[in-house]
Amino acid sequence: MKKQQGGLQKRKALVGYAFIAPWLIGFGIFCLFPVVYSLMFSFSEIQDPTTFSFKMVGLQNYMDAFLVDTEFLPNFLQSVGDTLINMVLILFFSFFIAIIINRKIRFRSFFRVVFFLPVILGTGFILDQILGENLQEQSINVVRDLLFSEEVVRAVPAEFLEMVQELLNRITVVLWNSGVQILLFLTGLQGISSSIYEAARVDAAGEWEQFWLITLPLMSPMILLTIVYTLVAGFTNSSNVVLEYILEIAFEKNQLELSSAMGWIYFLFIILFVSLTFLFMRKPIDRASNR
Amino acid sequence: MSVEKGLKIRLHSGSIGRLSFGKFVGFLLLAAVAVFMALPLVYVVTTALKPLNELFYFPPRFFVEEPTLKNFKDLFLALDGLDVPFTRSLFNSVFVTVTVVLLVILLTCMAAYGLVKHKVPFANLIFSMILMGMMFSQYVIQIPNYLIVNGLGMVNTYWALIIPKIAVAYNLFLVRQFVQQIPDPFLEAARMDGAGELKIFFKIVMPSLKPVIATLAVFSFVNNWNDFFTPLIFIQDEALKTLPLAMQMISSGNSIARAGAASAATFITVLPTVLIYVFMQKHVVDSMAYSGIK
Repeated sequence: MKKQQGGLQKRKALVGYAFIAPWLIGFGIFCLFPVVYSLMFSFSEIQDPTTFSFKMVGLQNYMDAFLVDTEFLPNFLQSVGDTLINMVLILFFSFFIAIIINRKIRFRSFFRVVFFLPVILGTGFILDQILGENLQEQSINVVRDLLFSEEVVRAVPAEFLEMVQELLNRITVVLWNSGVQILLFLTGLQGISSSIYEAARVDAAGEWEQFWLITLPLMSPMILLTIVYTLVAGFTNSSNVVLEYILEIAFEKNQLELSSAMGWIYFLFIILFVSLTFLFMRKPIDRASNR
Repeated sequence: MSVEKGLKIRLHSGSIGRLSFGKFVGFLLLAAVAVFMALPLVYVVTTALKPLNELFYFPPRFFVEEPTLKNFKDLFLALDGLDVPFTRSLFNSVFVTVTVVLLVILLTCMAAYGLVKHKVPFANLIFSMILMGMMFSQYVIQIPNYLIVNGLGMVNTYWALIIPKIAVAYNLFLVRQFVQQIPDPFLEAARMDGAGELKIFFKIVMPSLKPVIATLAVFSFVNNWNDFFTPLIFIQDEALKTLPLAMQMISSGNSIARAGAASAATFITVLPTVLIYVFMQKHVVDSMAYSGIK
């Protein structure tokens, strides 16, 4: 009996692998293998670009990325800074929007569609490349024309206008990257049972208290998930300056080895950063949501 | 007792009064932001309808004054200086994208089913590799990828645009969440009744994955339809180029007449992605939200 069950298990596993195999082979060849390939490149120096024969040079490329290349580190820091600032803004914005949408307002499903639209439009490289900036600029221009008539432009100092323009740009970035986050928060909010709020209302807790004492603690696991999602999405976004720079090194300067090393430095940083975020925030969040 | 009840009612109505004011302000705010987000889409439409002289207004105007369909006529009938007609690129895009979407749906669902429901050894190892794959930017591994595709002799064929795009880590991650929801006894019962593995997969697993399949279809359609980078690297033959590359060529030609055709081409490129999303949005929104919980 036992033996037969073992055989059954084995057969089941085999069938499972048969189902996974086509996908896994594709994943291995076109994702894992290139990743390993690039790891190898990052430790080597290509001798002959036509045959890709190379010799190992140890950590040379990694040292070059930090010590010789003058632009890698500034680009890297800017990407990290941008991602963090945008993450905070996206988090606040999408939480706020989710709370508004969650109050049974009119045209709710319409709003859900519109806020998710950028996820559909913005994922295309083509839109980023040929239209993206132009399109976003256009919407900014319309708002600016509405806000600043000629009289206003003459009356207010140019520095202030620049600041507003900067702010509008930042807002556009945030708006265009909040689709998934709004949905995640909305799901979380809908998961909180309304009886908890009713009980709080009986105890005469105001809206503000309800938010701090019920909504926020119960939403904290969802907030952590959203933070992790936003970080990964921001770090791997193709319009990220450090990724653009890494591509430029590879394709325009033909320094494949250096580019691979930079790619790996960045990748290791992402993994480390995301896991640390997860580790440090998990405990307080567990405590908050189980109170 | 009645005092308590009265208090409760008063509190309740009080909060409703505040709510409706808050609601109103919230609604206005949402509407403003929604209009702002819809602007680019409106701009694509108005630009496609602009006659030539309006396209070159400086500063550019947002709305069209005398709408015309001339740009579309130019694009399909009178586009000189291109080696292949626009319709050929359109066909390439449709063919490649539809093939990829169908293969992605089939193979990703199969893999997720095998991974979750068959207790395969090393399932956790495979899953952590998939998670790693999600964090490693695809753009960084383009050159090794080129070497492999080249080694397989697929450069300058449709295959280069199809085969490497099928196994995407994020897709498997998404579908996996849904396969986990299918109750095991359901599958066991079918097995007891003598249903074969393929039958179980197509008759039970696939139908219960419908919402996430819709999501998968939308995401892989949009990603591949808009993909500029892959054909740029792998395709040199004009007859095999897809819409994004064709669009780039149309808009980079510096003849003034091209500007109208380019705006029409933009409209045609954006239209299918928006349509497919609008038709499938309910499934997409629901399953994206759902995958977040689990």
